[in-house]
Amino acid sequence: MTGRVPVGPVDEFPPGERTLVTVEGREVGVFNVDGELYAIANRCAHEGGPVCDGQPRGALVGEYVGPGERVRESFSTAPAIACPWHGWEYDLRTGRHLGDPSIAIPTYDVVVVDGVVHVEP
Amino acid sequence: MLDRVVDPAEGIYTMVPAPYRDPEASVELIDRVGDEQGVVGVVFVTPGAEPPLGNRRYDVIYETAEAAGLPVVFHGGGASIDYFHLRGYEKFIETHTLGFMLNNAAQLTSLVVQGVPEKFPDLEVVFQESGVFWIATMMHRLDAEYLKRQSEAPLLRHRPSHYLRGFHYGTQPMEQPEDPAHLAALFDMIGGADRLLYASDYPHWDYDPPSVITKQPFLSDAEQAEILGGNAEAVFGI
Repeated sequence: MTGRVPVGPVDEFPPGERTLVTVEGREVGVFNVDGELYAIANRCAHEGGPVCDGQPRGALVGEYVGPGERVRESFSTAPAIACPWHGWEYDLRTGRHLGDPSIAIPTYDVVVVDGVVHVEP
Repeated sequence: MLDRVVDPAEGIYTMVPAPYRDPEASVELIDRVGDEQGVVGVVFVTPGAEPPLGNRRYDVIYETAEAAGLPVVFHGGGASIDYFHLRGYEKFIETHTLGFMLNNAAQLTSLVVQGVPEKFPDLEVVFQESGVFWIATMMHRLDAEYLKRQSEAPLLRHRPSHYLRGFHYGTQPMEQPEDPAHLAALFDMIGGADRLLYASDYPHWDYDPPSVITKQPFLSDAEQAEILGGNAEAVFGI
């Protein structure tokens, strides 16, 4: 398929790795988080900051467990990344802001073809 | 109060004053008188609440009010005779400009960030006696903070202004800009006329007559009727 952007050999892209590629003129961050591959625009919807300089982590979630009880907080398995400029935080899978899903930045499919990681425009 | 003052036939209602420093006593009081004729809400006086009123220790009060179908009303306070944050002011106008608003803002911030509207989704929330312009400040300020640090308010499913547009607000003492268009923009910002409950505070020195509403050129007759009575009838079930 035309337009796929090669990232590099999959065996050189282990968990924890990240890199930047250019997709249709836009800078896109590609991540391997615990073996899953994600690609997200490197431009925060807030002030255009470099989202992909952030550190991927599980989104923090809270659960109300009853009156008078401390809200139970934990890091979920949903992968998220926060822009280092002001902390706007996005779901790596959807590009949606964790606090307001009406705010979103582009995400891209990532495929491995013949041992090479590619981003689909 | 119930024997000699409250009289729904004459249009006189009251609220349970929650002694919230003792949450269990507050629950007992709501259980004891919350279903009496003419009791239509639970009121919290907002100065002096430590910890602030979003703290989980007050959950039982909100749970009880929600179950009883009683709105919770947060009533500002904080003029010169009260404990106040900013000591050293020399004129009453200085403390009165800020006190009521800051105390309500402090409690509203706590309520929203701690997720009270998500814990108790059927609880009606009203803030009163700090005017209307602060509401827009809180909406936009909370939204700006939340979008940068939403993990600190993990119970919220929407940005804070969404919840603020679900609350109701007493209008008094209503700010009246020289250009009514500015007030119209404010009303629009906070969710429209159905958020607002006319309050007089009569006979205090800064009371508002109904004309603060009826003279606004941008409000339709229907909107004026909502603010002057219809909204309160719906919120308080009267």
